[in-house]
Amino acid sequence: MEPLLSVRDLRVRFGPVTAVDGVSFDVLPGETVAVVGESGSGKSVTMQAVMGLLPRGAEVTGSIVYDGRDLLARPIAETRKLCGTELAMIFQDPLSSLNPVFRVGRQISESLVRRRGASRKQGRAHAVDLMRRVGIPDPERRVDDFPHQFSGGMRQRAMIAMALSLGPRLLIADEPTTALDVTVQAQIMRLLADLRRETGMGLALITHDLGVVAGVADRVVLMYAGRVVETGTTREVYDHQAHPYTEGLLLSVPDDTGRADHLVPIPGQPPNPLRPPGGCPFHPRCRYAIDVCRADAPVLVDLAGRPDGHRTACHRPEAVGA
Amino acid sequence: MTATLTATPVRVRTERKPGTVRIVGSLAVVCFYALCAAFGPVLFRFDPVAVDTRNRLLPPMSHTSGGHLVLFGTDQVGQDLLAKMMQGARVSMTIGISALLLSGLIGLVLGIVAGYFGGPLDSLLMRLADIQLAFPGILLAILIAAVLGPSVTNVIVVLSISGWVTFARVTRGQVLATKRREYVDATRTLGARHWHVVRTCILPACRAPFLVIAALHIGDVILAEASLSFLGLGTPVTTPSWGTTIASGRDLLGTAWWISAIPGIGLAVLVVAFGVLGDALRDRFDPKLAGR
Repeated sequence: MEPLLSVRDLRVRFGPVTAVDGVSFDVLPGETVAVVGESGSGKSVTMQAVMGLLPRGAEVTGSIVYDGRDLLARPIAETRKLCGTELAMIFQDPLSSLNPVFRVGRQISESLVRRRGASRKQGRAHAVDLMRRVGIPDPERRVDDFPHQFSGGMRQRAMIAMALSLGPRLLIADEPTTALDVTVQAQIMRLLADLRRETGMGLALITHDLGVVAGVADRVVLMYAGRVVETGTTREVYDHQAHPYTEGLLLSVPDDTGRADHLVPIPGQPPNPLRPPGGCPFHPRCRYAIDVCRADAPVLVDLAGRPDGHRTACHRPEAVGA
Repeated sequence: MTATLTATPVRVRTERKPGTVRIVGSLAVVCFYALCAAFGPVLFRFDPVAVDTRNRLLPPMSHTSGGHLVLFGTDQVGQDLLAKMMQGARVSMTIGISALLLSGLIGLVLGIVAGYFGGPLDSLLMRLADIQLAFPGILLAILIAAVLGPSVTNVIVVLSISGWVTFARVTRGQVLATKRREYVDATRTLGARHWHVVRTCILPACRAPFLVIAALHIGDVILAEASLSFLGLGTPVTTPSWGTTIASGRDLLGTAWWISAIPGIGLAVLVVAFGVLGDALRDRFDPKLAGR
């Protein structure tokens, strides 16, 4: 199947800092791909590059092909035309991602009114419809509320409604549940999964929470220090992790017993982006590190003897989990 | 067993927002001046070239030879000072408001351009603003006014040129604070172009600081207009503003103090009222001061 979004060898530099260093991944139509990594691993910057949201002064190379069109080779205005109708995005903090001065209904219907030339009245009906679909109770009344009258979960639902307004084929969700409390997190994740199934859109989910990924993602892309360290189907990566970082992340997810003292944290700190370590960027924190890890950066290669698509960037994948 | 609950009436908090008294009070003063400026000259005919030598230099609260009361006295050519001040209020407030709107518009546009697009244009505009701020404002105004010559339009142009900087800087700051907010990014991801983002996200955020600056600035503008006219660089003598009236009484301060003093007091009260209004608006709209 032709991928909907295909990112190839993406590099983003902010002056001396390389935030994203040769990232490649695909999102197929109707597929959920989770991009996982800790803060500063470049996952958000990657998605901002896709949406054309990077600030001035960012140096971007590589290619971002959406539906056969290379977004980086064209002016940003072309990307803007695709935004909303083809690509849409929801953000980490629903508290600050709604415009405080307009009513929620108007914000949801804005793109329909502006892009499709609908009347305000049609827009309002459309907003009520969408709000009902994303599970906001009593939408006829809430459509006239301002964002500050909504709770956090309701605001994220309103954001999702805005993003879905024109029926995009790819939704990018940048840590959509980070700012919400746990019960609401589960509801929002279920809502996103349901909507994806109903609409058949692709979903690129950015998260640092492997627990969230297990339930919803078809494939995972693990990022560390601006690089992809492991990728594959969720099941395959969870059961046969082949990178020590993945292993570390999985060990630091609370299990059913929920006891904090059972958690095994990854020692050390993420590398300083101004002075990245030589060789494999993970070697200072890696318990399998050998001399070759300190000298050579491993490249992402198919893992021998495992199903297609399971790739890892590690010199000693056989040592992990053994 | 049943317990009866007597419902106590719920007390609704009726706490006043900060500065309500000051806002209402200063607005009342400003409105009074505005009414005088609008209707005063209709009620009290003022003829700039009329001369009535029998009734010259009458002190306040005296009667003319014709028998009617002159509340503020008369000047050296026998003109009623009250009528002259009302005409002056009309000129001063027209100039003040026009200059404010023009400089506000220039400042808003340049501030948004500088803050939103950034880059070399931003540096150029802000260095220009720095250079202008390094000059004393009235000196610049005198320089331009001397080049253009006295007329009402020229005064408005001069005061707008010397006043745009404050607006531009405040607007730019607000734009910088707003443009990387998530809801602005969210608007962009829905396909909004620059103009739409500016209109729906940036402009509403600039509204409150803009109003505050405008209220604080209009007093300065009216005062600057009076200073220019006092120096003979503002309105021509045939269009009496407060500045020209004060200047005309300067030589007679010893014998007829009211010609300079009463327009001066009138000017001071209006400028103070605008200052109080601006301060009160800032207290209300500036979240950093909330709760003090």
